[in-house]
Amino acid sequence: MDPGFRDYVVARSPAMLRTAYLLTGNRQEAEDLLQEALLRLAGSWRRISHETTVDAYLRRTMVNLRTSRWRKRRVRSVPVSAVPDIAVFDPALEDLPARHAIWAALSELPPRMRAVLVLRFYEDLSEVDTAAVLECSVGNVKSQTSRALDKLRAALPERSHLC
Amino acid sequence: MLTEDLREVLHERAADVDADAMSLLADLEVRLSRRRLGRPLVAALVAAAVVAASVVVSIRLAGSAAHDVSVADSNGVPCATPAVTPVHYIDWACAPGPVDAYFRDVFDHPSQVMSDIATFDRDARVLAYGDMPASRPGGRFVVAELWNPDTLKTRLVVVFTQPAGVLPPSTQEHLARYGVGPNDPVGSAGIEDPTPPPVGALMVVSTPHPSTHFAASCSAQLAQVPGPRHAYLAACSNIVIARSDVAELRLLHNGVVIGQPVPVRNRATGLPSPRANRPGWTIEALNADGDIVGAVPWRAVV
Repeated sequence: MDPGFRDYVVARSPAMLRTAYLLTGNRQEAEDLLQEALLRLAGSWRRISHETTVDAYLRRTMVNLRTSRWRKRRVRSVPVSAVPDIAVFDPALEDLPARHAIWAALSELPPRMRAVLVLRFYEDLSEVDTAAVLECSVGNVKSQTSRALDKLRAALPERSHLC
Repeated sequence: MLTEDLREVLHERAADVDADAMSLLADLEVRLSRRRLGRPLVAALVAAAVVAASVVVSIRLAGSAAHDVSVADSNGVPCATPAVTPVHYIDWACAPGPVDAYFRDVFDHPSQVMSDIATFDRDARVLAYGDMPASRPGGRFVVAELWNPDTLKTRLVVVFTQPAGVLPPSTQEHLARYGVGPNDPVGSAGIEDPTPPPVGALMVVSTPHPSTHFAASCSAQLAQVPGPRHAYLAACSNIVIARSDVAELRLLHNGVVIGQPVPVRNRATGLPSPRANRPGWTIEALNADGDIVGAVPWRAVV
């Protein structure tokens, strides 16, 4: 393994795993997604490492892989009749249902829309940088962001009055 | 605002992800090593043979996640599996190297095998255990998959017992090479080198009996194992197990091709017979395009 690549993995994989988690919503899928993206990066390391866009390359690969997997996957969830949750009351958790609702609504978005939100509101990438990662136009990023937020609002009617 | 809430949720969720960079790196190294060897990430079917005292045990593993294991004797009689009764008079003879030594160190009493084999290594998995078939009364077996963190490779380990007094002298003599004494009431044998099975395109299984007929029996048994692997009889009582993408085998001596490549569809391959126990012999696996997809040293035991 190239020492530079190894150093990159050690330095950046935790952060990238978090991004992968936000893209997938699942820890195991996130690890697989990141590892697959890193494998591809390893194959292109000599070329990519000379550029300053390794992070962008990895993000782009993860988004594309995620989108590709999502398209191939036929069964997205397994409904169950009962969930093993136990109700508790904790004032500190008062806002938890709302946050959970946002997270759940996020999981219903198509992968590209979800990626746009993760890149814009977690990675804090600019619209230009997000467009570069997604390999699309800035206008497309804007429209995807707007549509994604609209879907979230629709899924969260109690927050529909918010901008 | 929704966007602010969204930002908070994303950061909260991300903060919950406890990422260990070194663990990720180790996993990546494993995947890279597998990819270099040209195998899919999902482990292919693995077939292995263990031979001792005229008993053939064939093992089929359907990937690393799904432990679909079938064990049968040379007549195709399935072994009873699983069983939960303690194992007595069990011996070990498994992969050469650290696993073997580790077994000897860890199992100070044979009856511990059934419980310890699953716990001495957190990544060890018992795939099957139970009684040997009726043709070998009293015999029992344990099949385990061990993960060696030092070599980043998986090993198959097969441990089984034989009732006392059933081993012919020639077999006992051979088993002595595995560390089993001639007066030991326990007989056992192991896979010659199970390290490559989940990884490489080829595996050579050495049989303990210097008989082509015996090897033919092994080959026939392995040929019945379904899946993307095929077993082929080769010379010197050895068996070559090839991945499904292997189209031809050829023999080399010190890098020089000996004879013509042999299609793997022909079980009695007709590969030239190397002189036993001499270094420099290699079997190479070629795919349909003629590319080399694997190679193993040819180690005859007779």
